[in-house]
Amino acid sequence: MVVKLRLARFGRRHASVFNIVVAHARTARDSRPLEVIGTYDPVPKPPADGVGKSVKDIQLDTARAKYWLGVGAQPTDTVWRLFSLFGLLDPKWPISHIQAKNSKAGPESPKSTQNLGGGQGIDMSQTQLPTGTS
Amino acid sequence: MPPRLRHNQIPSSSSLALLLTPPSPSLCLLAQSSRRFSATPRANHLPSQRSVFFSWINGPGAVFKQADEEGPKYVSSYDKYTWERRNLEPESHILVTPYPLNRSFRSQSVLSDKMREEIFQRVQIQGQSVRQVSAELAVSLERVAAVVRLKAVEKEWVDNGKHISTFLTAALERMLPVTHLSWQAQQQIHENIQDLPAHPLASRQAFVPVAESREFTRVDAGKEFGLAPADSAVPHPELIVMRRERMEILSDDERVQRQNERQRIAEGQMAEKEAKAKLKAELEGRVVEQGRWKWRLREGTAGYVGHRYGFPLPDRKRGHVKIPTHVI
Repeated sequence: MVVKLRLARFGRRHASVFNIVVAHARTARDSRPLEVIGTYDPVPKPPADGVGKSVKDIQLDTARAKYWLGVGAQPTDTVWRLFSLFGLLDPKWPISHIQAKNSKAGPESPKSTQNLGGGQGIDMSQTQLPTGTS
Repeated sequence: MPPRLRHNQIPSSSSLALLLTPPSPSLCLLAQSSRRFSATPRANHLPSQRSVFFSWINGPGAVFKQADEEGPKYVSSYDKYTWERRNLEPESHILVTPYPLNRSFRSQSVLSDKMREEIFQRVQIQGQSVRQVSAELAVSLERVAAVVRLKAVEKEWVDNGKHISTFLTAALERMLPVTHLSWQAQQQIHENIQDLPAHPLASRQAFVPVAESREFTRVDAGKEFGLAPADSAVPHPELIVMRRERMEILSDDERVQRQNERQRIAEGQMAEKEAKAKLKAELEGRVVEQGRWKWRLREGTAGYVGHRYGFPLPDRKRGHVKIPTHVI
């Protein structure tokens, strides 16, 4: 059975917090997992001094995360995104990638035609992909 | 709106003819009678300040056009009437008073380039502490730190092949008083390194009844204001301790031993502080800024991290008060 790295929801209504868990794919979301390797609090906390961006908290056992990735556990898109912040994985959906995809999908829109320039826009955006950090 | 012409100024057909022909003497007289010149007698002719200035700048003031190697040339250091350079001692404050009418303004000296290079070498290459270099060369802590930072930038620019404009530095060294590095003689004092900044807490008045028998020192006064005493608040409190020990009757060995002991304690405190800061940074986690948010990434340990399974939220538990019990 496929082992997934995914989120399990905890917390109250409108105040979700998640465990980052390793679980079999076909088990229920909040059922007991194989292992809990971290937490993710998606509610942004405003900065203490009121200046700058709000903060989201992630706690992760990176050694265990690396192990589970190494033995073939499949992260969901959200967990992939969180792992890429730790530098464990390359981002699956980097912003430049999404922009290139959008410009390919709708070349008649003025923004995308400006970027495209005879099909070169995709190549340009491909070169801007961030390099591997893991 | 078009300009309004007065009725008698509108050229009629006859006046147009007059304009084309040369004016007759009678017409000129008529024009003069409408415009009278002022009959006020002219004031006594005095040379204007402007012409006085130019006669001075082309005469005795010409010495100020070029900077010399001798150092700053301020008007105050010249005789007012003969415009000869006055024989002043090198330490005289008149030499560094640029404005003759503002005697309290003194031109502050700048560090020579050699001196700045020496500061950089001592701190970055020889690894001496900023505090030590500051005390040895009599340059304030902040200035030593600034010199090291700027010299590092300068060297980086030189390495990158950027052009550095040294003309201004050279010109300033000619025009301002300069503190030079001296190897043999005692180092020239650049500034007072023990300046104590005036703390706003110390500006209030305090009336403290003190028994006559009680010894009331500045340490007690500091406590009264909530401030550290000046002996420890100055930038270099260690110099005060050293001076005090020198005034006591102590052997050189004893003093060196004491100094080494103090240094050992200070290094221990520094290491402890660094360890504490490192621990704090680990607990707080590293912060990554991406997209709309900042992400605080912390390391957890599997088995200890995470919300527990099998424990429902205590919201519906008996005995928990669900409404506010007091208002702030």
